[in-house]
Formats: sequence, structure tokens, C-alpha cells
Amino acid sequence: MSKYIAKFNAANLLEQLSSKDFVIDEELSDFVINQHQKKELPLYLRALVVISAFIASLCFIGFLFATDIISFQHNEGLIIWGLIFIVSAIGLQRVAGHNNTVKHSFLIQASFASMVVGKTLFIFGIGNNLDFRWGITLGLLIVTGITYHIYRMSIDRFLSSFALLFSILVNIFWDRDGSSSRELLLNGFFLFQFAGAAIMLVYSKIKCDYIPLSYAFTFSLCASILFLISSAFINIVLTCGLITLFGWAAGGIEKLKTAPLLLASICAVLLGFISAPGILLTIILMVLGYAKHDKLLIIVGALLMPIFLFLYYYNLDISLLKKSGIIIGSGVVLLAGRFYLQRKIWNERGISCVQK
Amino acid sequence: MMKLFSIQFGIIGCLVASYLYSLQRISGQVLLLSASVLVGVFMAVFGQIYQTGADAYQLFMMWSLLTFGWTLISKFAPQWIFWLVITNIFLVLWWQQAALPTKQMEFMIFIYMISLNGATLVLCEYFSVKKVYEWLKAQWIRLILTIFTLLIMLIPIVIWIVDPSRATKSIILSGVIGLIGHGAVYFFYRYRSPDICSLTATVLSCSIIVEAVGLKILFEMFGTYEIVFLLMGLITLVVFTYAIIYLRKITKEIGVDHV
Repeated sequence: MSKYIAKFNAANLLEQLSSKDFVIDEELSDFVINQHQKKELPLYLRALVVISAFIASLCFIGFLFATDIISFQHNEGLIIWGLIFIVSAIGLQRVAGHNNTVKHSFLIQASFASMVVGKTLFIFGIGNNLDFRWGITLGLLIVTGITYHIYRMSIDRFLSSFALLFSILVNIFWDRDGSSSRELLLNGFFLFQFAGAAIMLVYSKIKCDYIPLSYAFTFSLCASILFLISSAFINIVLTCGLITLFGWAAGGIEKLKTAPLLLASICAVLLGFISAPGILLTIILMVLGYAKHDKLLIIVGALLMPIFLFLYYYNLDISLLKKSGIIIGSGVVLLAGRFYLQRKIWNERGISCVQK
Repeated sequence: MMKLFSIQFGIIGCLVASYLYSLQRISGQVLLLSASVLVGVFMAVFGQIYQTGADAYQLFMMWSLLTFGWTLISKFAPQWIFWLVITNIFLVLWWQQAALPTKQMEFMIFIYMISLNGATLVLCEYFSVKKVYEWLKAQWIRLILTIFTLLIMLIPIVIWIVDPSRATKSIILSGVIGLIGHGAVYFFYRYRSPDICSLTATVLSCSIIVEAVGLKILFEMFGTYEIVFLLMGLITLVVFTYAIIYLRKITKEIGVDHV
């Protein structure tokens, strides 16, 4: 599939523009490329930062507990130490500056480790203090809300936002007291996440500061479907979302009237009808990733697709023989779709050749 | 019988369709992979119906043997990865259920697994460099194989470092092979065929080895958790800072894209 995806980066785009006689001088070119590269570390280095911060924060928390500086019996102490670590993390990030030196790298890592320790202590402190399940969610909300714009690190923004959304989901799901309203809340929360992800991923004028939040919404949606929820409402939302996405990706809702998109929309409705929210969501991720040239969304969608397919067939409450029949039937439908699209392409190529 | 028939029908259907589509096309290759999956499903269902009482390793052994033939001609990386997963599971289960090693020989399984996966990685790189098989060029294949091989090499090394007094001959041998393997992987992806993602995985694995050494030395020196925790936190930051600085330097040198 990668051959169908155009690969964009600042250097390529500038090269293309100058090849089309746009005036791009060297100074401007260097400035744009430097700005593009300075923003974040490459993905593989960010993974190292996360692993490093995780190990270091475990060690520091272990140290604080081993020396009795903090304890789970003293919630105020947890909160105060949490705040101290958060403030020191912000301070370390400011001191680190923007140069790619050893000092900068060390301080950035120390800052992130300090932020992880601070947030963990603060959240547990608030959670224990309030003594109810929503306490942790409240702690996450406070700390994420405060640090999101002050502490400019995309990994932290993503992880904090995802933890907040996931904790809300877990709290709603395990709310035994309000079981009558639970489904309503779950559906409402799902709609909120879906709308949040849709706006942030589709609307082009969203600030890049919110990209981690958009991924947090996306991953939380996947977690919701993967672990916990499925209902008729969710199927409807995902089906409508997928059909709208087809229209958006094709360049306008009116394009839905064309035969291939009409067929795709009918298939989407069928998937909604047989209650396969996971499959619908992965298709949404892959289509969106393809339309936005976002590899991460495509990879997540492609990795989750076999899992959701397996879960769907595994959870079907019918005999193995009937399941086999359904799998064969699904295969035949997919092959028929493929033949149709292939024929359609041949026909269109034939028409364009005749017109030439 | 109908259950078995439906699976057999699936296997034969996939193979015939794969032949018709040809293995040069992705559709044919995916159908072959589906046939490989169905072979395992068939044997599991067969075992359930006839209560053969066979050990689990036998299922994976037969699965691996039966699919090896068409894996050889598949020219499809996911098919090879799938076959490798089955074969690794077979090795582990065989070691636990049939080989029944002594305490001294317990860790020999790591040497077998390093050999199998290392040989696959070497062959993959050899054919990729020689440009014999274009389908082996994809970076994800190299990355998966590298990470898995490094992980198998890392486990005996860390166990050897953390508890050397209980290290058996097989732990020491697999640890030594693991260290040599780390060196070889580093050398290859740094100098012979520079690849920043595989190199990052190698550097991460080396950082964990350094961390284990640090932990061992600190415990021997101080013996109390308080200081060890504090110093380990700082050592972690220093080790990973150096790793990141080093990788950034190499990234600039080999001029990779901003991944």
C-alpha cells in the first residue's frame, strides 16, 4: 500500500516548488527545514525517551517510598511532592533550551521523568484523598489541563490525555451504582470521543499543539471498542462517520453518488447492520490515514483489523460450521467487490484511451 | 466430519486460488498465508475431535513442517514471519514437553532460538544486499527480526549479570553468544548496512545491559534500596541521554528521513 502514499517532507516540498519556478532562496529553505526538524525528535528516539523516563521514574518513586519521604497513608504529602516534581519538570524543560547538546538531552529526559513522577504522585494523592473512583479521573483532568499548554512535550500531552480519556471510560464501565444509565453514558462518551477525533483530524486549521490530543482521542476510541463497548448507537455513529469520511476523502458529499462510493457506502451500512464496530473503526482509521498521508493511522488500523476480525468471529454465538460458512461468504463478497472495482477501472481506462 | 471437511475445503480452496492468482501477486500470496493458518486450525480441530492426546509441540512441529514447502516458494515476507513464529513456538514447547533438560542445560533453548532467528536475519540481509529477492527489502521485516533476535539474546545476558552466582553453563554460553550477537548486529547496522531503526533497537538493548550491570554493581556496593534507587534513576538518565545523543549523531551522518 505504501506505493500509493505520497511521501511528504519539508525538503521535498521546497524542492518541488523551486522546480516549478517558485522563488525559494537558500536562506528561506534552510529556515523552513530547520523549523520542521527542531519541533520533535524522530519517532524512534521518542520511544527511547519514553522508556528512559519510565525506568527512571520508577526508580525515583522507589527511592521516595524507600526513604519514607512519601507514603500512601499521607495523601497531602503525595500531592505536595507531586506538585514539586511537576514544577521542577517545567523548570528543567525551560532551562534545557533548544540546542542539541548533551546538557539539553539530559535535562529534557530528567524533566520528562520528573513530570511522570509528579503526575503519578499527584493523581494518586488526589485519588486517595477524595476516596472514590472518579478521584483519579479528576486528578488527571486537573493535571492534564494545567500542564497541557505549559509543558510542551508531545509524548506527555498524548499520554496524559489518553490516560484521562481511558480513566473516564473505565469509570463509566465499572459504575455498578448507575447501571441503568451506564449505557447512556457510554454512548454519550463514545460520541464525544468520536466527535473530538473527527474535528481534530479532519479540520485543517487545528493548531499543531492539539495533534497529541487528536491521537489520544483516536487511541481511546480503539480502546473503547477493543475492550469494552458495543451497541446499536455506536454502530450507527461509526457507519454514518465512515460514509461521511468517504465523501470528505473523495472531495465532497456529492461524490457519494458515484458507483464505487455508493457500493462502499452500502458495504459500510451492511457492516453496521451486522454489528461490527471494530471493523468499521479500523476502516475509518485506514481511510483517514490514506487521505491525510498519516502513516501512523494506517498502521494502527491495519494492526487492529485482524484483531477485530478475530474477535468478531470468535464472539459470534453460532456453531463452528456456521462460522465457517460466514467466513467463506465474507470472502466471496470481498472477492466480488474486488472484481467489480477491477472491472470498473478497466472500463474507465478503456474509455480514457478511446477519448485520447 | 463436516467441521473437518469445511476446513479442508478452505485449505484446498486457498491453495487452488493461490495457484490461479499466481504467487507473483499479493492476492495469491495472501491466499497462501490463509492456507497456512488453516493448516493449524485443521490440526487443532482434528486433535479435539479424535482426542489424539498428542502434546502441543507436535501440533506446532507438524504445522511448521507442513507449511515449510510452500513457505520456501512463497516470496512473501509475512508468510516467512508466520512460519518463523510457529517454529519458535514449536522449539519452546518441545524444550518444555519433550526435551526435558537438566538444570545445567535449561538455557540451551536460547542458543537454539538465537541460531534459528539469527540465521534467518543473516539470510534475509544476505539476499537483500545481493538484491536476489526484492521482497526482502522492506524495512519492517528487518526490524521485526532484529528486535526478536536481540530480545532472545538479551534475556540470558541480563540473568547472567544480575545473578552470576547461579549462572549455569548454559546461561554463560548463551550469554556469551548473546554478547557476540549484539556486537555483530551493531557492527552490521552501523557500518555495513546502516539502518537507524535496527541500530536504535540494538542501542536500546545495550542500554538495558548497561543498566543491569549498574544495578548489580550498586547493590554490591551499597546493599540498601534507598541509594540504589536514587543512583539507578540518575544512571538511567545518563545512559539513555548518551544513547540518544549518539543516535542523533548517526542519524545526521547517514542522513535518514525524519521518521
